[in-house]
Amino acid sequence: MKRTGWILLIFVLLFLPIACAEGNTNVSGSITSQTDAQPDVNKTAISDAAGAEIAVLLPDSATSARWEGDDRRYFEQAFTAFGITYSIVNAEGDARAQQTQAEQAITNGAKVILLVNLDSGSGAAIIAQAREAGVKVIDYDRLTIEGPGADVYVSFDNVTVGRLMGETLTPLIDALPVATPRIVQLNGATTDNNATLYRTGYFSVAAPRYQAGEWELVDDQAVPEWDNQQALIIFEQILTAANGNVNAVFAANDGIASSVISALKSQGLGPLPLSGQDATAGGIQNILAGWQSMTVYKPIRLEAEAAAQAAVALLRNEDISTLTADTVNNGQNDIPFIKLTPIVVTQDNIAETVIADGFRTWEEICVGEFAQYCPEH
Amino acid sequence: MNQTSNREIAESHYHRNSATLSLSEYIGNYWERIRTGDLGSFHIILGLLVIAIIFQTENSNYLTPRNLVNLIVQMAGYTTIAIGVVYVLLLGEIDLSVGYVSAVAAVFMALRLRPQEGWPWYAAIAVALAVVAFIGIIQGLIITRFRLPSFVVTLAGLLIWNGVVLILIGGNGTVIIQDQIVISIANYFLPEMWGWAVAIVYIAWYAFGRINRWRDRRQRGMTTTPVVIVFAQVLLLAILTITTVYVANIDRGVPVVGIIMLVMFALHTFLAEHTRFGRYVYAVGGNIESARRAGIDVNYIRVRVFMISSLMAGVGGIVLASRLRSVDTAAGGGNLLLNSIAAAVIGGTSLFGGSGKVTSAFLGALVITSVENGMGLLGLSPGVKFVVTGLVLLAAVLIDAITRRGRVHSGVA
Repeated sequence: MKRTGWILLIFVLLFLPIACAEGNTNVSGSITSQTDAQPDVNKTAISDAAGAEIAVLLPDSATSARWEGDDRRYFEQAFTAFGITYSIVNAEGDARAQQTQAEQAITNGAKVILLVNLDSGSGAAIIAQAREAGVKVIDYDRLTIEGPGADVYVSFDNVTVGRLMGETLTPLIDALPVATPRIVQLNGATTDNNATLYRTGYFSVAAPRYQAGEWELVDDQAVPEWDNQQALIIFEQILTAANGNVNAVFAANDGIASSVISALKSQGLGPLPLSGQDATAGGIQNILAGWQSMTVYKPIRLEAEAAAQAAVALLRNEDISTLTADTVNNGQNDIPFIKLTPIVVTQDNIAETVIADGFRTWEEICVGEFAQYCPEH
Repeated sequence: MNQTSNREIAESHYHRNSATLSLSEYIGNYWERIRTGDLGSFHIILGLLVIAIIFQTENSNYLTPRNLVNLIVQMAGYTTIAIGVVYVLLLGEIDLSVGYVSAVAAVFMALRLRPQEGWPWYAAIAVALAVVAFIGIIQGLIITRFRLPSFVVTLAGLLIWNGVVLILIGGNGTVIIQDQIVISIANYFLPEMWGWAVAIVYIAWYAFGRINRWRDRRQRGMTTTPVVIVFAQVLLLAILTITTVYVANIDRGVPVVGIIMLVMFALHTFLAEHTRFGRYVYAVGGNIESARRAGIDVNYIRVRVFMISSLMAGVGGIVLASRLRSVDTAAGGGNLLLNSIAAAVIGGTSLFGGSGKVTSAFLGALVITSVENGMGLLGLSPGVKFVVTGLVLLAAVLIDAITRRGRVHSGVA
């Protein structure tokens, strides 16, 4: 009798989080204004996991909030609008889990896989398996640079993301009252091909200036796993090695930028030209307060909608070349590339960009000490 | 039991019944201990010297005031979490959940501190710590009630608390901390005079305690260390403290988090070595069956230890969050868990239970952070960093295993 009680308790404890989680999705649905039919959408997502025509394989939920927070709901909306069955799963940073998810999707009869790979090697393996089964693959946001590559690549042009950082910071760096500004580059994870592309972007702007001796590259380091705590230590040590003499920082995203700001503040140093990416609430707050110069905003809704459209086109065996004329070479083949243009956000255009799109709200940004920097709204 | 006093009692029976050892006898005993494999902190201090020399020759900015202050702030998170890990290791158990439990505390605090919630800092911290203490109790109860290996239960905890962190942070991605007091935990540096005041209080406290203990032992007719050694120990600590404060004052000053670390260190040294609870922990870790037969409520001690482990992880999480001035979805991940456990082990706490000290958390965190800090100065690639940190950990466990064998051979263990 006692034992049964314990087992019952264990089952209750097991199912409690699941019950809570379902409640949670509805809550997030009611907060975001665009999701009018959220509860229904959820039901479709769950009931159609088997027999889904399109399978979306998301990478993780820890390194970026976008996958579960934004991509998922935009895909749900887009596929529901098209009236197509779909499933969305998340590999939580585990490349082998993602491979299993791909196999399951193929077994369940998926015709198109929307893949955000965890690294190019495992991505190539998934593509090879899919191709064998006659399933089309879309590389979503991350290009698989191993193997023959996917059928389509949908992404923001990541080199452009980096180049925009370079171009926005250049006038700020040139305006500094120092003869040779000393620059630091803090890049993203080395395992993420996008991090390499961002770096290529800002380096393409900065390299000629380094070579001409107009700017000096103090340090150029990668942050493992995009981990902000590690970014903090890395930047503190760069500052120490340089005796605090750093004039501008190319930071690959808002999280790394916030680590830079934290290190500057605790060492009693002032703001400097500093880039960022993702238009997070924290990034926008730092921009308003004058600690960050810019962030690159990539409207995720546009990216997800473009990918959904491409997936439907592949599903209906339509010619993908009507969607884009661009291609990108993944090392072996030229892959049709649906390229989206990112947007630079600075103090001057916050209202017209992230706020106007409903991506951020003044209510979440203008809290506490940041309220003083906010315009009347 | 306090190892040193234990041994001093034992030795008194070998040699003679009471009184102060002569200097040569003391040195002889010390050498005997090292020879039989009880290295104490000897090899760690040696290791730290080697690390300092290597990095200083590679980059002249290593031994600078600025970098010393960096080092103190950077090691604080690891030290705090590792103190809790020491207790768990003393029992011969493991707690794999400390990384994400630390993040749970950080998120709970950060969410309560948001301006729209508007909790005062002390309430937010208190609630966060209460939550993680509760987590520790639950994990401890499950381990003891169902006789499950702590490794499995805390592995489940690792996943669960990682999930809880993700759920709590939700779509925000990052929760920014604006509370000035919480930020100052890891980012405020004491003005020069206050730094000196703290140094004087600390030295006085140590000297008083050390001399008191010496007199106490002497009055009870137990063997005592030579007076010269007692004075030398006090003098050494005074020199270390004064140098640290002097050097820190050249830069930004003594960081508040450094003081917090010292207080934690003192509190836990007291708890582990001078209270009944602490002695019971050593007893249970040494041999759980004999501890039970001696009438110790073994399960109660074990649950308490898991509570302390989670609680200290929570304090560490708050320190880390304060340093970053925010909590993000990656909090508690990365190499935090590995580095915290490695710190305790490198510092000399045995993985086999029953042997170790709170000091080891401190020394081990100093080693780990020194290596991390130095490699950051050199700008080494992430791959090299992982390899080196792994090798340091491997060296530490090898030393633990070898010295343990030495102790068994010479019949001390």
